[in-house]
Amino acid sequence: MIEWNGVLTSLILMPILGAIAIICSSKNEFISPRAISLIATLFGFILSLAVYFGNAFNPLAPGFQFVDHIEWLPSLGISYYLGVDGMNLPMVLLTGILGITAVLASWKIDKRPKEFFALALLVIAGVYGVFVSLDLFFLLLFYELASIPIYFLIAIWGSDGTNPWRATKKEYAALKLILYLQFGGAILFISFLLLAINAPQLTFSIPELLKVQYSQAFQHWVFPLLVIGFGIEAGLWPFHTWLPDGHSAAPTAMSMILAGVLLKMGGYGLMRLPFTLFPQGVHDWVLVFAVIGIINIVYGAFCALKQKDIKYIVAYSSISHMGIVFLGLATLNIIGFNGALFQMFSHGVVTALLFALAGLIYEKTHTRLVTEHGGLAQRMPFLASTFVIGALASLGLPTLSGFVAEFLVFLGIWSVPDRFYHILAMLGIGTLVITATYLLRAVQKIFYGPLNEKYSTLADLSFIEKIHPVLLIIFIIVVGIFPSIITDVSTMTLTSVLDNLRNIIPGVMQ
Amino acid sequence: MSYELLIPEILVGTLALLLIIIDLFINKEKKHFLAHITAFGISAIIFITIFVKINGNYLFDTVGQLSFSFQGQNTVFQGFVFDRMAFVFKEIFLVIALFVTYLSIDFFKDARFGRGEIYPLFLCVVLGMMFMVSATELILLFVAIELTSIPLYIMAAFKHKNNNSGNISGEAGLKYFILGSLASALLLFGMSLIYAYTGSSFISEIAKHLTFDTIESQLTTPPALVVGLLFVLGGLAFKITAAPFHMWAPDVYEGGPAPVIAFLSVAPKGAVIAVLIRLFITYFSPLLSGWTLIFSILAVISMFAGNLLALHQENVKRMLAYSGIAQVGYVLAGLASAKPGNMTGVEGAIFYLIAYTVTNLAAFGVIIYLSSTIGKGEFVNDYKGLAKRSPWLALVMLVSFLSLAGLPPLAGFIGKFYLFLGAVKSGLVWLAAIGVVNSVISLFYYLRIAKAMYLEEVPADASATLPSLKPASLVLWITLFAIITLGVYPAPLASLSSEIFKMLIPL
Repeated sequence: MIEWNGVLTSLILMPILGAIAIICSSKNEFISPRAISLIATLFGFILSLAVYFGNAFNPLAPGFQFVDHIEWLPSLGISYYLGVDGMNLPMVLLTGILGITAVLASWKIDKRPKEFFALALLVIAGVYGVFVSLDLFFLLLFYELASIPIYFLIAIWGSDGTNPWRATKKEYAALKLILYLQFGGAILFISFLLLAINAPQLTFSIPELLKVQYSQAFQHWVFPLLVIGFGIEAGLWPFHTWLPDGHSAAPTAMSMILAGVLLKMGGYGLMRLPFTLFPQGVHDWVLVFAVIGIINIVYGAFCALKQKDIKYIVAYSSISHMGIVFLGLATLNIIGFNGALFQMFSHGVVTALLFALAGLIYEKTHTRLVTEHGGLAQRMPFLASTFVIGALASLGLPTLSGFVAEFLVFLGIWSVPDRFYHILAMLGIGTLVITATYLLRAVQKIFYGPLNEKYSTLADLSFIEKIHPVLLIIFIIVVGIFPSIITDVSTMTLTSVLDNLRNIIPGVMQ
Repeated sequence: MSYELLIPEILVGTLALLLIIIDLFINKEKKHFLAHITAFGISAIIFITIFVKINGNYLFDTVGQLSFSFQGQNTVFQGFVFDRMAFVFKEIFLVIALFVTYLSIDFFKDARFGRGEIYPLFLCVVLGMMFMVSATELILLFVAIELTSIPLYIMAAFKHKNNNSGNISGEAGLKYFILGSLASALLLFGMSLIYAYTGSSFISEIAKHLTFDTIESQLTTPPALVVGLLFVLGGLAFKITAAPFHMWAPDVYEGGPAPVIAFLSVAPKGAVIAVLIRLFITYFSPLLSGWTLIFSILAVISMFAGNLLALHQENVKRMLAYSGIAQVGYVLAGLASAKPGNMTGVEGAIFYLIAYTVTNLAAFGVIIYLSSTIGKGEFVNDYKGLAKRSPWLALVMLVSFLSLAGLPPLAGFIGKFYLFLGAVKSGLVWLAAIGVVNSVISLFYYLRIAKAMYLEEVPADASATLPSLKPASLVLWITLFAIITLGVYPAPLASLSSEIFKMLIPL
């Protein structure tokens, strides 16, 4: 049985072809690695925009669209199955945006550019694959494809950490990241095998698995397994320790991809598998999950407060913001679910912006320590204004996308008629103050105040360097003012997920 | 009696004898011509066994129909069976021998060797393995195992004039010989116990004596018979370097010449796994629950011993020895999941064996290449900066290590997926979990060499570029292609494994 549409396959295939083209090309300046990767990611960006905003995608239709389905290993129930619905289409758009901005952010890489762009394109292909994959085997395959090149990217092109109390070398950060992510992949491997085998007929395809009724005991034990597996990727506390070192040691483009989409792969996985397939499991574990979510928010914020290295500040803020996603999932109502998905999109763009600008600051001043900067706004007003916009988006200023996300999630939590949830909401909203503190303090220390003598000769961003921050800011503002862009697409799918949950869990609200 | 079924063995034996005779007439300096003759001969044998019709039938047609027989017969005598698994494994051994011969043409050109016996010895080992996979009689099995092992003892000691570091190759050969003889003695003792209690040395007769009272869940076979079978299992486990019978492997792998070790790390393992499948899973299936318990214990110990001990190795050949122990652990985990009605693990074991074969040949191929060109290649430090000196070799090494670690989209990932799927299907989720965790642990030491190749700078005293060796490069190309193809398009090999297994049910 074959269904073929080709759009999603070409999304995955273009970066891979780009990587192959880069490897096979000689050192001919005309077809440089940068040009090839720009073309590949531009293709992905335009295609994802077309799919998202075009008329071909119907948000109200049930099931999956743009499906590619080919039997691959029928004896084991594995097929090549791609498709989009309201849950992963915003993620596909996010990947499209981040692909091209990551390439633009790496424009000045001069050390072994061929290998860098080839590996980066492989990572982007893997990320596309994870989001559109409807077969668990291929999901795992693309997950691994995305994570392996990151080891080399960090270990060769990264930078060492500069925390005064703990200097981490980039090789250490890379190794910790890869082993941790592989361990998460191992847990997912076992969980997927268990999922597939307990279906009436051995199958790895998600639409088939959606119809299976798993036993209560099975759901009770496999739900945490899946949550831990995807949570390792998503920065769930206490499995987040690879995140600060990994994100900070990575080169700029990789930090953007890691924080922008890799974390969201975990969040998307949580939404797609445990929260959809295991109503009983959700019922048993949702309170624990909510508590861990709030720990993420509070712990991440307080850790970020202490940091002196700009990339570590942004990394810990990522942990904190992913906590909002987890809380949104724990609400079990459509407002919270929409908020969680919205936060995944918004935070992806915002954190990519912050990491891109942090990378630019590092390029200009060659230091990542906040304390060694001062008054940069006088020399680099454009950089300063974009960073301020990014910081305000991250702390949730209205008209920017972060506000909508946090508002939806906290409204969702408050809608749950449970005093415990209300306490969690208050804790979360209170942490916004801490978020504002560390972000604005960083802004103040880097950009405002007296100009540090060392930087009196710095120039502002060049034209090429301005493109990707502006692109990201456009999305932040547009989605912040017209949030229906995201919610119109996602609401129907999430509502059907909730309907499924409501059959088992009483009290799941509209 | 259809002796036509013995054609592969007859051809290999003839080629071996021919090579010994030709060797007499070749000068000391020109011994590498023997390699070309060997390669040509093996290619001819592969061609003949697959493509030439005998009395109007292809040799493998015998296994094409469900009632496999060649002119009505599929056995030469009751102890020699020719079915699909035997045929496929025989071809695999020939291909391995061909690859190793090509890889090592330049390795053995060194004046240190100057003797041409290595090539007929390779063929004697192949002959022994061919008999092993077809054997359903104890004495034939024992003779075949000895025919496999004794030339390997000699070949492990082949590099007798080492640089300055003493006679490490001779030491390896001697250790292998003594420990291998001990294992063979145990094997023979087990076989004699079996003969004593069953009065027959034919596997099918022995199987009739194995009874298991399923109602009472009690073993009703004579205990001494089971002990005999356990001795046989132990002797076989030695040959595949399953822990805790693995102690010989690191020393022998470190000391022996690289081509011999390349051959030793893939071929006998495949042969013995085929024997294990034929004996313990197919014929001795009344006691299957007992055998799977033992396999799972061996698997767990092998996986942990192999992976944990490999973490500290600085010698690449030694590290590959320990990694081989761990890989055998994964294969045994697949065998341990065998249950009536669920043979996915066993099919996965056959798939993984083939994937492991090409992968290990690629890894050892790089070691052989480096040893042939610059004389180094044994230590992790020799690989520093290899990505800049020879990006192609570094890529082959990286791909083979990533495949061994079980990363997609390579052959090792599919193999491990298959194996652990079989394990989970049989309810052995703990075994699959241990296997998967071990794969992650193994990534650490595989990445260490990748790190040296790609991240480190080229040391000052190393040559900037490497000369190119045509035959070895050709083999590396083919194995690289195979690793990636099996990973991306595994369906043909997967269906071959299922077909092999369907034909194994004893008559």
